[in-house]
Amino acid sequence: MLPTLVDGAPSREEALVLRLRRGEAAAVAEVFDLHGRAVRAFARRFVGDDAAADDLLQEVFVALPSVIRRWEERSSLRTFLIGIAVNHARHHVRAAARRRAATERLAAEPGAHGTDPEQDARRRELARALQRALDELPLDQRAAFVLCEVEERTAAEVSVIVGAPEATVRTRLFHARKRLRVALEREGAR
Amino acid sequence: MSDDLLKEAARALRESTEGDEPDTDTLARSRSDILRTLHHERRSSSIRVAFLLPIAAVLAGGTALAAASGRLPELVDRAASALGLAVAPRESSGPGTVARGGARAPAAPRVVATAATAPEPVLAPEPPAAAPASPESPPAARAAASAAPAPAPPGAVPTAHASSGAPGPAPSGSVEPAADALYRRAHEAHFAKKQPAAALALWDEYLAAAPRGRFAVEARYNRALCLVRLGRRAEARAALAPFAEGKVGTYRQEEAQALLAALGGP
Repeated sequence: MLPTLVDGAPSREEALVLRLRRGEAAAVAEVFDLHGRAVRAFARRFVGDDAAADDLLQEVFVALPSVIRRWEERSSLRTFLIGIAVNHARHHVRAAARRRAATERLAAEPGAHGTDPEQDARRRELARALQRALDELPLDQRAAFVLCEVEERTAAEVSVIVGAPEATVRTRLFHARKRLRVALEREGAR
Repeated sequence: MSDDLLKEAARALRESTEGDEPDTDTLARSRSDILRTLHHERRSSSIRVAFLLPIAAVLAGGTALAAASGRLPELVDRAASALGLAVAPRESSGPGTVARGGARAPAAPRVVATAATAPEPVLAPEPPAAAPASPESPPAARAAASAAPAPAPPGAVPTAHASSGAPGPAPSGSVEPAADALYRRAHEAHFAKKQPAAALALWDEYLAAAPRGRFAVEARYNRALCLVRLGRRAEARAALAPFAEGKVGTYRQEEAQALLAALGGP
């Protein structure tokens, strides 16, 4: 289970948000120090590619000073940052998917045949198969699946992140699972 | 494929990325890139403000000055015309009324009090009457009636001036209030009393008094309508031609063209 989203003293977060709204670059740096790693981890899971995850991470924090002005503070700052990442992920997801498809074609995906024990290798292959299957999903369903199933967040939390009702999140998750099962079956058949 | 396998795949993905966290150097590089980008954006924004603010201030000041001197509508029309934008024609009946085609109706004049003249009240309200065509009217006259500007609302105050190509405003002074009074009488005869012959004489009188007056263009158009209603087709055609040909901008151009078509050839 991932750590709870509301971390750090609220007063510190509030002060940070105030400074962000004033446009202080030092505040962005502080937020990065607090939440950058978590956002990067989510970005990596979401886009499935290190380079794209790094790009997305930067995009989130560059956008932060402007989007923070519209934030209504109905979630933690970290949840808000993940939401920005989801909103900015579209072209990074596409770029990462294209890279994956290219390396698949060349059969040269790095680390595909490492020296891990057999079980690890199987799990890594399973993770890669899921990542490829995720590339076939619409972004909304992909976000629902990654946030709910991979990051193990609650539907309520995800609804705040993606800005959609909980019922919509559950519907997206339902369709995502359905399509992923089909895609993984196809992968397993290869 | 069972749900268990899908869950296992999700867990595998989670665990595989947990070990893939970037090292401190990578994160530090990202951090400095972000701060550099933000700094650059802020500097660009400052430069934009430094350039745009004075321009905006000059524009705002110029607009205020034009508004204060009463030349704003004219300047707007000129600018729009220069940019090739259609300008809503300012018609001759009264402000605030929307005529056919969404055009804003022009003003019936208000006499402006000056130090040299005794204060005069705002013009009496224009009765809400257009110039309907009588049943026996010829088609052209009916068209003229339909093309007639909408009536002025009570308390109409002139704010409009003719669109581009229209004669410029008359020099301010005692001529203007007198001409405005003439305009008011012509307007009343035309739209309230529906006396085209009397209105025609008054429009001519107004145009003689203020050939380049604030409402000269409107007066010329209304005069043309009177000629149509009086059946003086050749004169009506001559009076409408400049409007139809766009010599006074887009003011009443479509209506004039329709009227000319209804009047037929000589």
